[in-house]
Amino acid sequence: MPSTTQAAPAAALSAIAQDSVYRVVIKAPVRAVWSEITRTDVPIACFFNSRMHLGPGGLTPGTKLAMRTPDAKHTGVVGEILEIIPLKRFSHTFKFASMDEPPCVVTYDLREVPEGTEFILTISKAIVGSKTLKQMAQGSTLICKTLKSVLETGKPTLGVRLLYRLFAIIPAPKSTRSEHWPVD
Amino acid sequence: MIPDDLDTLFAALAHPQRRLILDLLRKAPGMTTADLTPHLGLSGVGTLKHVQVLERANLIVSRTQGRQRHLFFNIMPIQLVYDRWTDEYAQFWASRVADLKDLLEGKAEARSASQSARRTSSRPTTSRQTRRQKHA
Repeated sequence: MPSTTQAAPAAALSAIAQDSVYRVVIKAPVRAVWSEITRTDVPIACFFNSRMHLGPGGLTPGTKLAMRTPDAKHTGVVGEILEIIPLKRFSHTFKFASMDEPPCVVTYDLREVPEGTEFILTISKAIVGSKTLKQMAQGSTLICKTLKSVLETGKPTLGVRLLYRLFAIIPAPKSTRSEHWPVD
Repeated sequence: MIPDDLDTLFAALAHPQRRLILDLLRKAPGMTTADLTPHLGLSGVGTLKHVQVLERANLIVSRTQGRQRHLFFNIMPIQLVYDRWTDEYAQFWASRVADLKDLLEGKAEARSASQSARRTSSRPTTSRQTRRQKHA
């Protein structure tokens, strides 16, 4: 029954995956964690050493954002800010520029705890079986552990630093050139 | 991770029923305690106690929606333990990655160019050439 076998992957691809949740406690004040994940002045180590570029609206809902290489020539991720509650929540849509797939939603929740700051990263509305979901599963742990490492020790772990060196020398696809992904 | 956190983590992982809970949540994030209970063959209270141990170890994050509490597997404590013991070994790979960088940036090309120049200047004679020399 060819129709059944063809329909199954299509149905699976359109299904929305359950949320994925990643939680770490960082020994740093909430303000420091918030500043690190929302800064636009320098590349952000925990976001794969990419620099956040925002549209004219700045850090407000509805503003487009792009995560670009330090030289701004290539764009890894694009999205739109959905929710901003200073020092508590930063939520935005998330689409890999290199993948022709619908965006998912990434939410960062911060909460003050006795040890420092509880940081929760939630991935939602990703498509089951999509490349985006697979990449997010790998990338989310790296974001959490690098953010923790940067705020507690001042630098990413050695393994992550080596990974970033590799990223810098691997050529990026033409589709990720920043002129294709404006935020204005 | 501080030693107390490690003790809590390893104690939580030491029980087969709790590892089963993590497997179930990994496959189906968002299950409630009531959803988990039939898979474990325990009472609701028994399941809840195991869930609480896993929450204390930060292996489960819960979200309340209405009257239901949805549970999610949090891989981060295991990832941090993994990094704690493996990161120093990553130093071994540092030199390998540096070699790769050199290779891609062309240093290896320069090296091979100098080697080929040397080969041309002192190319060893083949066995056929040796035989011809003997006949002559």
